[in-house]
Parts: sequence; structure tokens; C-alpha cells
Amino acid sequence: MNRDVMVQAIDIIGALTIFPPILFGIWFFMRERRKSAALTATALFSGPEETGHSSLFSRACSFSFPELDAPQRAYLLRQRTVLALGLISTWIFFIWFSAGLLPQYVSAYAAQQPLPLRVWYSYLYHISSGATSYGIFAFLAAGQAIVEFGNAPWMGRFFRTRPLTRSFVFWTRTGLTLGAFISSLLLAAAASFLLLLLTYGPVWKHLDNGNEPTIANARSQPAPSSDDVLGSVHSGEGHATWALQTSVPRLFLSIVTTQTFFFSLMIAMAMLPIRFGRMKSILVIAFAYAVFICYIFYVVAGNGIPPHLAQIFFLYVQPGPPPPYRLALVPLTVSAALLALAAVSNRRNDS
Amino acid sequence: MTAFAIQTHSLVKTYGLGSKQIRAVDGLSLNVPEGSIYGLLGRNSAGKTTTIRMAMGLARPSSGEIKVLGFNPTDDPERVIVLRQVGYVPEDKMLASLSPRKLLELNRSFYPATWSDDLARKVVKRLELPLDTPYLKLSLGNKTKSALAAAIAQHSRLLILDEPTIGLDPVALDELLRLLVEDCSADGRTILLSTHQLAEIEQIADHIGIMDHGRILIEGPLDDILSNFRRLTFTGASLPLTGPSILSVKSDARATQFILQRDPEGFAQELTRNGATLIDSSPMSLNEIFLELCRTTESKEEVSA
Repeated sequence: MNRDVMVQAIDIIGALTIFPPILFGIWFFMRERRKSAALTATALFSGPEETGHSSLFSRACSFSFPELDAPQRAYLLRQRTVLALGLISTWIFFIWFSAGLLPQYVSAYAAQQPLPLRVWYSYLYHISSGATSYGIFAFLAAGQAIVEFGNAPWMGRFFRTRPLTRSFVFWTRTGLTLGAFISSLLLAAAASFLLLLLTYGPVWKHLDNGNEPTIANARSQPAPSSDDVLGSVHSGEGHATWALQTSVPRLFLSIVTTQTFFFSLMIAMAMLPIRFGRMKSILVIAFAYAVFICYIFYVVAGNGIPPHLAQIFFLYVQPGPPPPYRLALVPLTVSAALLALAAVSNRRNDS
Repeated sequence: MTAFAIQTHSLVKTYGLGSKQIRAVDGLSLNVPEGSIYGLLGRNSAGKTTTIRMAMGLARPSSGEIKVLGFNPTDDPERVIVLRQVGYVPEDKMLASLSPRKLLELNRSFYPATWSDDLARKVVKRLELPLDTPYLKLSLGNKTKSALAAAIAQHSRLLILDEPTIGLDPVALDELLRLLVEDCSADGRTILLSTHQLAEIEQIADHIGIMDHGRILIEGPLDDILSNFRRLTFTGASLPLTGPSILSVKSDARATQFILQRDPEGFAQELTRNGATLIDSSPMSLNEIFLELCRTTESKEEVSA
């Protein structure tokens, strides 16, 4: 029975890993061919005026934001690329989140424990342990946002010399990039959860079935340390305790708040109103990197940061007892302050 | 009263701090009349690009005032009003890393009220712009053409072109000059060109300004400047070495050569009255005027240093 379920999991995860990029590639290729075909010898553009067609996104923008003027709408339309990148990151996060459902990972934990417990622990562990990777994606997303309102020669200067207010460009770009990034995390989480349901069923309902005394008492026990768990891999006591104590909503909320903080920090650093020529870029990267290294140190070393400090910043990077919900406001408030600072700097900066 | 497309008053832009501070623009007062083709000339680091960047709202003035089409381009929302009416080609032509067709398509969506597809087609055809070459494979000349096509097709009230001839072959350069005169300067539209191509500027500009070390050395209608500058050669005793109209003086054993920046006829009459003999009077090209102004400024600065 267990073996059948695991084979089914491999099939589904494999299919979902391979087919989306292939389908995306085919769609992209067809779209480019359609656009080329729409260009006649005299038509300079494939836009609505010359082809008689307007895209769904264009119509949606006009309908949703009638108060925007033409340049603002043009800029908003241009942000389709952000949505495309959001889809790609959704796919990457989905693979990451779902990796814990693969049989080799499920089998790696406490073989004598029931399958639901092993699946649930493996699933939670892979999601929480990917915190460093999400951080890298947050930095990449921030970098991608900055190219349109910073001093980057690729697109920044173009948009800075179009009839758009700096605030509009800043908040549209930052908001959409951050929104796409967070949405991709949440969508991937929802999709992986659905996959868990499809392959193994509602495993979290069968954790505490009373067969194992260690599981039955787990919720009331203090959380074990990493060493305790490493020492009890074969017994599965640590896994059971952690799996039962973990709050899934708070785990995802912590991923969202932490990555929002990294994203905002990078944006704020890049927009600092200081001029050191090339030194500024080095300074920005060095500082952001230092913060990131501290974070990784915390994740890798487990509790490298004092627990109360980790709680205050709503850091939740491994299965176990969750920090209280209200503390999620701390990183969110700091992130909002950093973005507001960046917006002010962006208005004042030369480019 | 003349309306000005761009007007600056005591404009200053500094970069850096303390002893490393550089005054890229140093008390500039520039007047670009509306409807003119204005050539902004100057050596490297004269402050031309910095001035243009301030006009486009890309750099903030350290002090002084700048108005573009009557609005302050430094802060929103006036900056947006300016940018609605200005076409711009930057010095390095790196406006956006897109193929020419995609750049035109994107730029067109920002200016639906003024954009001209016919003009875009005309520029693409006359400059022989390859529309679908990826940005990274475009030569410098084609990047220039791409940026020019996007700016010209905007059909804007003011066209600001920073070194628009970089990388262009003589045929493309000739086509560009024709396009600017025939299609961009009609209906009271203004063109500001910053360039080193003095011969080409002389063909199309009706106003020029020469900058050096962040300041304007001379500004005005090109015809007035060409008629005011003259090279006069005299023989005789007691010839003046300085004077309000004298830009420079060169003497040898046989004669003295004066470069005059204003009223050459009056100067010649005065010297002739005082017994000197005029042996040659020749007009100066824009190139000669430019070189003479820059050299004189440089030698004055060396003396004062």
C-alpha cells in the first residue's frame, strides 16, 4: 500500500516538474510566431491599432484602472514580465515545497513511525529548511525591481524619462514585484498542499492516532533541540514532537514576512541617497550580504540567534513550536518603513 | 518677447564632496529660443550632458534655476508635464535594452496623443534601421538610429539630442540632418543638439551656445556670431593688445593678427584712423571660432592659476 502511494507520488511530482516549462516554452514560441505573422510588410508594430487586437491583459488594465492616463497604463502593461517571472518562481517554489513528498525523503525519517507522520514531517521540514533559498529569491526579486527605477542603463533611464511620476514607477514596480514574489510562494504552497492531498491524503489528521505513546504526548512536551532530534532519528520521537507542534499557517506567514523584510532591505539599501560612485554598489551588496549571512547562520546553525530575538522577528525556520501571530507585525512594520524610506530616497536621487 | 524652450539661470551642479568636489555646471545661464535648432557645443567635460540631464529631470541642480517649456523639470508633477512634451536621445544611447521594433512599440504606447507612425516609418526607412536585430547585436550606429527613431516619432514640442551623430555613417548623418530640418523643426518645434560635429551643426542650427568648464562662453543666433567674429591682419605701430572686442592677438615681425568677437568693422576703422594698415580681413568658420574660444579660455585660466 505504502509502496503504491510512493510510486504515485513520484509520477505526479515528476510530471508537474517536467511539463509546465515545456508547455510554457511551446506557448511562448507560438506567441512569438503569431506576433511575427501579424507584422505585414508595412506594419511597424503588432499592437492593437495595426492588428486590430488588444491583449487580455491590456483590456483588463483598461477596465480595472480607468483613472490611469496612457503612460501609466503603458507602464502597467509593461509589468506583464513581472507576472511571467512570478509564474516561473511559483514553479520553482512548488518543486521545492513538494520535494519533501518524494519517497526517498519520506523514508529517511524514523522508519518505524507510521507513514502519515513521516510524510507530514518530511513535508514541513523541506518547506522550513528552504529558508535560505527563498532569501536568495527575495534578493533576486529586489534586483529585478530596482532595474526600472534605479540608475540601471537597461530600462531605468527609459522609464525615468517618460511622463511618469517617480512615485508611480517606484510603487508600481515594487508592489507588483513583491506581490508576485509573495503570491508565487503562497501559490506554490497551496499547490504543494494539494499535491500532498492527492498523493498521501490528509496525513495531518492521522498523526495522533494513539498507537504511539510518544506521539500522543508530543503536543504537551517541550520542543526538543536539534541534537535531541539527531540523536533520536531512529526512534522518531523528535520528529513526532516537532511535527505536532508546528503551525503550518505561521510557518508560511514567517516565510512571507522574512522574505518581505529581505526584499525591502535590498530596495532601501539600493536607494540610499549617498554618492560614493562605484563604492555605493559595493557597500549596498556588502551590507545586504552581511545581513543575509547572519540569517543563513541562524538557519544552518539552528538557533544561532537568541530565541527571543528570532521570535521578535517572527523567524520560524524549522518545525517546532511557533512564535505568536502578533509578532509578525514586527518584520512587516520594519519592511514598510524600509520601503517608505526607499520611496523618499528615490524621489530625491539623481539617476 | 522671445519664449524659451529651455532657460537656465546661474545653474550649478556639483558632484562629490570636499576637496574632491567637481563643478560640472558652474553658473550656467542658457537661453534656447522656442522654434530654434540650437547647437550646444563644447569640449569633453564642458557640462553639456549634465545640463541636458538636469533638463530631463535625471539630475538635480545643486543651485540655480532651470525651466523647460516653462516648467521645472526637477520635481513631480511639473517634471511629468515636461516629459510629456520632450523627446530625448541620451549620450550613450542606452535608453532601453530592446530591439528597435520593441523600443518603438514601447515608446509609442507612452505618447498616443503625439506619436506619428508615418514619421516612425519614414525615419526607419531613411536611416535604414534594422528593426528586429536584438539589442545586444546592434552596432553603435544602429543603437543611435534606434534611439533617434523613437525620439523623433514622438513628434514632441522639444527634441533633446545628446551626441546624436555618434556611430552614424556619412549617408545616415546626412539623412538625419534632413529629417531634423524637414520633419522636426516645423510648427515651432525646438531641437537642442549637443554635438562635436561642428560642420554639421553649422548646416542646420540657427542658434548656438558654446560651453566650457560648466559655463557658457558665447550664445546667440549663428548668423550673428559668424558675422561678429573676424580675423583681421594689420601692420603699423602702437597696435592695441587688449580691448573689449579682441579675443586674441598674434604678432610676428611683419604683421599683427587680431581675432575679434564683436564689431570688426568699427575696430578696423578705428585702427585705420590711428595710422594702421589693414592687409587682410577674413571670416571665420564655426570650427575656428570654437577652437579660438576654447584656447583663449584655457590660456586665461592658466594665467589666473
